[in-house]
Amino acid sequence: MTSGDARLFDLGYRAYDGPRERPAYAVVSLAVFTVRRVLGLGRGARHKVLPAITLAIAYLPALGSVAFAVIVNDVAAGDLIGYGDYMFIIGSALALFAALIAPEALCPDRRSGMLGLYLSGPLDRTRYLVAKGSAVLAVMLLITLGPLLFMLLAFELAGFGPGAAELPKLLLQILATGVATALLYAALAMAVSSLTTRRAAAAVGVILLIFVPANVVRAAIESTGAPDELDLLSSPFVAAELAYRIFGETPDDVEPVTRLSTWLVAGGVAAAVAAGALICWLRYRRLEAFR
Amino acid sequence: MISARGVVKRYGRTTALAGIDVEIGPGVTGLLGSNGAGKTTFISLVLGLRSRDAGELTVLGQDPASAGIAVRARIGYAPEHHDLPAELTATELVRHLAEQHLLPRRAAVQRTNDALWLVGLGEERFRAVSTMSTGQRQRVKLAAAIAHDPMLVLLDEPTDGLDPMQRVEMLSLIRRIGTEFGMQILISSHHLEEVERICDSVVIVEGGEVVHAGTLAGLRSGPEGLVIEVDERMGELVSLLAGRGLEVTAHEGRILVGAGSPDAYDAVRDAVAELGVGLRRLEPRGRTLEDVYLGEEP
Amino acid sequence: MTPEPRVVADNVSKWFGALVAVSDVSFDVGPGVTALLGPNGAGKSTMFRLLCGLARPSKGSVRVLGRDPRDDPGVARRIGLVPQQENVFEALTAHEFVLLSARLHGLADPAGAASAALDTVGLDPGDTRRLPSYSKGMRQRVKVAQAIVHDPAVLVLDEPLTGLDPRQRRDMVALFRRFGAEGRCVIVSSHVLEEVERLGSRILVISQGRLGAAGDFRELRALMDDRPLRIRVRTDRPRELAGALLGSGALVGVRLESEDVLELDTTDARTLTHALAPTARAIDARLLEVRALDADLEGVFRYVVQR
Repeated sequence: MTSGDARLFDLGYRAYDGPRERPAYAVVSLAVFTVRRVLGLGRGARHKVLPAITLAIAYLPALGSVAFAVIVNDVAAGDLIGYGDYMFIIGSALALFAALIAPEALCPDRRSGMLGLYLSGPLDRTRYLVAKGSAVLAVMLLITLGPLLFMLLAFELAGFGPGAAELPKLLLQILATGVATALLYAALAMAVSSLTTRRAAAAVGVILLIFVPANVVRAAIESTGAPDELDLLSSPFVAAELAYRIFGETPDDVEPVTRLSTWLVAGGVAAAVAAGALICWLRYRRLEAFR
Repeated sequence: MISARGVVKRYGRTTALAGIDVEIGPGVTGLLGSNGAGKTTFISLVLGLRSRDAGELTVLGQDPASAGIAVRARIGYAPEHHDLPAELTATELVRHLAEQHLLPRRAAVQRTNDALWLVGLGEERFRAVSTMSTGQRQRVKLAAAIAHDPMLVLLDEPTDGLDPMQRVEMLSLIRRIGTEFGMQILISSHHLEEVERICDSVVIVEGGEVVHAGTLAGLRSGPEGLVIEVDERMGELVSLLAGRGLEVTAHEGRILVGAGSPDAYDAVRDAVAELGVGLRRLEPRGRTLEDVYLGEEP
Repeated sequence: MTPEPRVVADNVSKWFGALVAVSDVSFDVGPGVTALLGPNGAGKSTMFRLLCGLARPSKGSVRVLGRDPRDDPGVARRIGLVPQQENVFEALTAHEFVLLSARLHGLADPAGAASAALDTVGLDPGDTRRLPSYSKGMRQRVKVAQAIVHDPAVLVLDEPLTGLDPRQRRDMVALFRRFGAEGRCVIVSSHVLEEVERLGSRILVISQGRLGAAGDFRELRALMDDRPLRIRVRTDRPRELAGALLGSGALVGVRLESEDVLELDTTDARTLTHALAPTARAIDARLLEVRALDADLEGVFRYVVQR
């Protein structure tokens, strides 16, 4: 409405006739949102503390290794931390991170009515889990893939890296290790988190699930001579062992478990991932989210 | 926009919906029924969150059982409960849900702002939901339901926990949304008076079936009589009117006259004038929604 | 001969640090049903807690049946409470839950009383389902059963109709009316004013922490004399009727709302209501509808809380 230079605007409701995204957008949006939440982005400083500390712990060996190499300058490859070693070294940090992230990603939604709100939009339970799983996986990759890539890049830049011919193979190895390890921890942590709505309980549960069977199995094998295959139930073991196998390295201070074929180890990892995902899926299928 | 024919839903041996036949069209519709009568189940079927055992159901032109995702993308839903994630601010929550309903980021940001101002939470929109009162939470839920400009809005007990003035405000807000903004609204409510106040149509569910459906005007058919209130000498008025040949009854301080013809109005006027009493109320009384609802004794 | 049950507040105040929730509230409520109303956050819930003995006044006193509900356990036996918060219901059946209350009150036949109480609220005493599986409305009724099992003289009920469907609400309202008619002192709060009107016409309004109104709301309306009463009249000759009524001197404002509807503002309702019928008859105008707007409980409530 105009009269000369004067204009009166209608502040009433505006319908939306712009473009709308496809349903997959909801999955992506939720995944991104979850990544931000678990890392404490967009939240107060105190939510960033634990993730930051864990990240720091995970990157420390890499930083140390690179710094050492740079300072000492003439260093043999064997003196540096091997890529295969890395997952073993930061095993605790991996467990801690998983115990931090997965409960934060899954539990609050069930505690508040948020899950119901999500499911009343263009999401179903499977897509919801895909979004959450992707988020947890992506964040885990930060410390399973990140430090390795960082080391590689740093060594390359400093001139210690492998030649151009070996680079593609190394990258593939790093990728395989990073993804497999992240998948394993993510799946286990999410499975535990799907069983309780209390974050703290889930976190403790994740830690227990990762370390208790490992210790029990170790004790069983060493004392009563139980079969080595039992080691497949130990998550830190399978993850680290797979890393060693991928890189063709052997751990320094432990007897290599050569009786287990690489396929078996890989199978162990795959089975654990599948089991975790299945538990999650079954649990969410049965949840009464609509009240 | 919602069309159901012979919809059946069972949980084990319990039949929650025994054959729902209803057409719910544009405007504001009230969904009434006893607890356990099937309202919640019906809503869950409309949303495609549960699958039906028999019958046809079309929502916004699609079958929610097979096209649940597409259907839910165009529906706004405000649940009955007040559980909202504590930490998020109103803006973050509404924007996130708008994006979850497939609004691109920029549009989500803008429309979230608009929606929160519209429901009266403009100043509080950056406050965390955990700091909000029940009244504010109800408005956040409403904003979240409409921010993505849905075609259909489902509101479950939207005035729960609101005090009388907040209730009046919320109801007129909902009425505005339903009439001015072109969104079809379905309100599930336990409050007959509210439904009467703002709904165009009503669906009453009982025992898993629709026992009444139609416009409010249609359900409350023609006047059954006149209600009269005077400030004194009620008994004498009753006698006077009866003497003039009208059917008169007195109940709870009010006089009910059978309105056979327009002459009844004049007869009442003249009787009141003759007696010289104060006329406080003269109202044609049709069936109220309550009559219709409670008339349905199982 | 027991004296009739009364609940008396005497200059009660309650503050939490610098936050004054209730300020100098005094009232005296006897048998029958009295509704306690008020906007959210204005002190109504705190007032309820004070009446129930769940909080101690910072100043002043609350006396239920002549005693302080906080100090006197004997009083507790004669009060029934339905607080608003959702209790954490343990995995008991409805009967077990009410039975606990019956035993706590030292009843002679706790099981029988529990069954009777559940019957009264329309629940099945023999139901073996556990409370957490009950709907909100059913849990609400269990709470009421628990409050009446010991046949209390005073009932204090905070939003007892939440979650109930229309039929259940009507039954519950009838139940409270009956309790009131039996001579018990029943204090109920509700946000749904249409229902409050059915409980009776005695109200207490707490607004801004203070008592804004007390008494029969119809009489309160008459006291609202700085607000003209608006009367809506539908007639076939609105303009003529308006003109004729202006002459009565009782009108302070007239509006032609539509082709057949007048809205008349008056500060002298008595004169106007008496003039309506004779004036209409004199000019041969048919009265089709006469209704006072804002004279209902909602109008009174709005007036009290918006001052």
